[in-house]
Amino acid sequence: MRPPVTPFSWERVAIYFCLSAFLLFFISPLYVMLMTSFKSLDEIRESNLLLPPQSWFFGGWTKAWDHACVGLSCNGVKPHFMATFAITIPGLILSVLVGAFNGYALTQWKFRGSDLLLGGLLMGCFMPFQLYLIPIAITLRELGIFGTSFGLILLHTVYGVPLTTLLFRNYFVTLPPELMKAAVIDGAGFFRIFFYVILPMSPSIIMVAVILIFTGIYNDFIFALTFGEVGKQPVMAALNNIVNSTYGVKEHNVNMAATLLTAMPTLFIYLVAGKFFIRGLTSGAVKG
Amino acid sequence: MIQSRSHVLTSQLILVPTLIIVVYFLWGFTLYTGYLSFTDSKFLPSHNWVGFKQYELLWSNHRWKIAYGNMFIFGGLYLFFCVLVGGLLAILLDQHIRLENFFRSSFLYPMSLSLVVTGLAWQWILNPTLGFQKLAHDLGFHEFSLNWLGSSSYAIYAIVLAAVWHGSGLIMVLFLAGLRAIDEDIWKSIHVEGIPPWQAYLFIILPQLRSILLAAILLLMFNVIRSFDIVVALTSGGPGFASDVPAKFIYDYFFARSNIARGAAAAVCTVMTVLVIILPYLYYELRKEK
Amino acid sequence: MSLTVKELSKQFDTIPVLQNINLEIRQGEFLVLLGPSGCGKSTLLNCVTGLEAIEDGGSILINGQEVTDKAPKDRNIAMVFQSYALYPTMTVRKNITFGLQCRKVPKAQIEQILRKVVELLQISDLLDRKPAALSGGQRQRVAIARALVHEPDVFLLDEPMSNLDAKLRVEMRVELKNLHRRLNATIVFVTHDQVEAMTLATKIAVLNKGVLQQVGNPDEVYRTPTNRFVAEFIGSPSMNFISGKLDLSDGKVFVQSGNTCFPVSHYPFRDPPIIGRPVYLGVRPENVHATPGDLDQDTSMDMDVRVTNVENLGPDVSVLCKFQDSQLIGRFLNTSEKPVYGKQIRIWMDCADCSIFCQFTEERL
Repeated sequence: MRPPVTPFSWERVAIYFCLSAFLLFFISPLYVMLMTSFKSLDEIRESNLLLPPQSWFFGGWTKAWDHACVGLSCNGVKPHFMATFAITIPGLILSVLVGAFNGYALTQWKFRGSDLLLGGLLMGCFMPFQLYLIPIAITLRELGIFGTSFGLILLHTVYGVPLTTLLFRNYFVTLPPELMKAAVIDGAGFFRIFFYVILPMSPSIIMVAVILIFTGIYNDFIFALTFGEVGKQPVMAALNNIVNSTYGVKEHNVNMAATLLTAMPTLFIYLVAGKFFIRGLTSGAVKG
Repeated sequence: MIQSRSHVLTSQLILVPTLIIVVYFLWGFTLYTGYLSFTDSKFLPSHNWVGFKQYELLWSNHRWKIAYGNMFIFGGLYLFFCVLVGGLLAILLDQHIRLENFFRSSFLYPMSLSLVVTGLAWQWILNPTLGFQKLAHDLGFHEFSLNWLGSSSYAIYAIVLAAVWHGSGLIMVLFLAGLRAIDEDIWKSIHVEGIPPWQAYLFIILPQLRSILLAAILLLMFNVIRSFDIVVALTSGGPGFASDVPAKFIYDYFFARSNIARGAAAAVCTVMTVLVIILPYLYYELRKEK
Repeated sequence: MSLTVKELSKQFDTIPVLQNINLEIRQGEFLVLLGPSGCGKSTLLNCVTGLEAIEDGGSILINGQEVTDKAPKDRNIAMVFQSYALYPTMTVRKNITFGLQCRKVPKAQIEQILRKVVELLQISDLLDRKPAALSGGQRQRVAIARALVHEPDVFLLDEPMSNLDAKLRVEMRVELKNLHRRLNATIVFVTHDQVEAMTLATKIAVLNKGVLQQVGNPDEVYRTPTNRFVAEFIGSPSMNFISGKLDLSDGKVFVQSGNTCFPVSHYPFRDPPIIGRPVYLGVRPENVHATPGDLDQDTSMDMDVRVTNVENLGPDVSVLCKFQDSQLIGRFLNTSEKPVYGKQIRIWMDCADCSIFCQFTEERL
């Protein structure tokens, strides 16, 4: 209950107890993975989930980074990181740029059909990717970029644009129209207004878009798996391959280390810029 | 809005690529896949029309029936628990908690992880020989058993568990924003009138969060249909096909089983099911707002 | 149904928000807590309600009973909020009766009370609407109804008129006053609007920076303000203040300002006046006249001033004049001969109802 705040009561104790219980639930997988990644395989067998390693073993990490096997090549996750960023960064830049321009075009200059386009985008945003897989495969093959990183960049851009367009459009409609009118009276053109008036007022939504798209592309699995370049697959597909491939003994410490490595970039962004992450998620929902 | 011919033209030009995206990559592809479901395409798309044959074969397929049923089990439980846990956490966090930011970050960080990472993390915890079950045995609870991954009937619940772990944070954030937006004076009035807390939440506070609930459910449903990543990472659809879901079924039939038309039919069925559930709900809620 | 506030003090962190407040309100009184934003009036109200804890000293008694540590619902009070705080998803009927339902009042009794209150406030045709479909004035009436059904010992209202437009405010003032009369209720009303205070109150408590400045009925507060703050706060346009010294001449006491001497022998000084003491002479604008009329020579003074602004208020004109180094405001009848900007005119100051304040302490002498 909100006001007033009683300093101590059984109610407060119960609240903190509940919160702590949930805290354990949410943190434990991370903790467990961390602990396991630093144990040797023998210790894993003997010890259990909760105990920290008796002696800290870094072999799992080095193998995960350098020479774990993904398919036929055993170079660890390092090359896949490179490949993933080579896809994520261009895809991110393109999606956000196109989305920003689209949002601008849709809000500042109303014309027939803009609402229809918006509706189409909205619906498209919600359709599951399974519907697109085969036509995508055909299109990529026709364009000659099936199984290349370029193909992935194209895909992520194409399917990121609806989201960024909606984000920017929903933000731009909240900007005061008088701003635009003043700029037009001042004689500014379409692009000048965009770069000198609109964009400077949008740092927060740009951050939100960047974080959402980066996370979306980086965490993508299905496109990576289906259309990734052999040996240079994005990191999630590589990770799944390392952990779930069935040859030989399961090296849990390597698997955990690999999982943690791949989780780090998005986790880092979340910890540093979590505010924007949250804002992005909630603003994405408010449109509904 | 100021209308100027050259500006309008520029806008239209800018939007052309996106128009192509919407028409070709979104709707065009959807319709094409729908079309394929009426053909006999196997490894490559073919144009032989076979009417509803694929659908008939689909519905007599045992694996599909399991996957389809799992969509409801998983979807229902996932929705229910995400809303329950998320809502509960939001209410708890709304009580002037110290270290609120710390708690909130801890509940939300799973959202930043991919579903692959999520699946793998929980695969480890649910591992019968090395995971939680072993821990329980080590602590003395020798009768304790938690082998969902190995059990046909319980495998799907493993996926629910991992997915709820991943997704409740988002629901919590949405509800928390909604709770925070409630007029402070309403809380004061509740207090002065002496309305007990649980009645206050049930009759006054939560009803004001309807539109948030709607947004939350839509987002969650979206995740349910897309549940490919987590299933592959956590159980690979197993044991056998016990934890199969439509997303994986479709993928397998497209590529591993080389039966494009069957997969397309499955895709169409999945989407139609979701639309049939969501559209009436959406319609009802939006009308209520008017 | 009396309310007593004893020695109430409150601090937020180390900032004192209320300092040693003592107030006594008897059954049937309409007390207005008046003061500028940030003076602590809302905090005081919240302490009385129980929404703020009293931990820095003081106590609250209702009907002689100590309620300082009791929860709001146990104090038998009801409150109307600035934003009305109607429950948005409930109908008006449910809004009003929900609190009673939660207290397990029998249905028949609820119906009875509801009927009475609804008739009193004339909202019977609104019962099935939701708050969003009501106007501001209607919402306020529903909020009052919700408070009335609890039949509390004390009603507390926190700036309930702030969200209404001017015309509605005037109407609601009349309604509120009627209600007060009919119910003989004990009311505590918080506002920053001194017109509301003057028109509604049987007793006004003026508050500034957490300290009670004056408690008295409207006439007392208007005619004999205890310090410069109260004198300036009450009354629109504000009271005029002329800076001067007390002087004695021919056995008569004057306030001497520059070359002008204002007669104040009739003034009821609390202590014998100290000659030479720097003072402010306070004269209200309606006591500044354009003609001598039938003013008493012994209590008035005329002087020449220059007109710097004229505002036409309809029945009166408000004239701003320059006198020595300061400004004076006068309210004259609106005749065809209005004062002209820049011109020198002669005005008459009626000191019969004046106030004199010490320049250092700003207290009334």
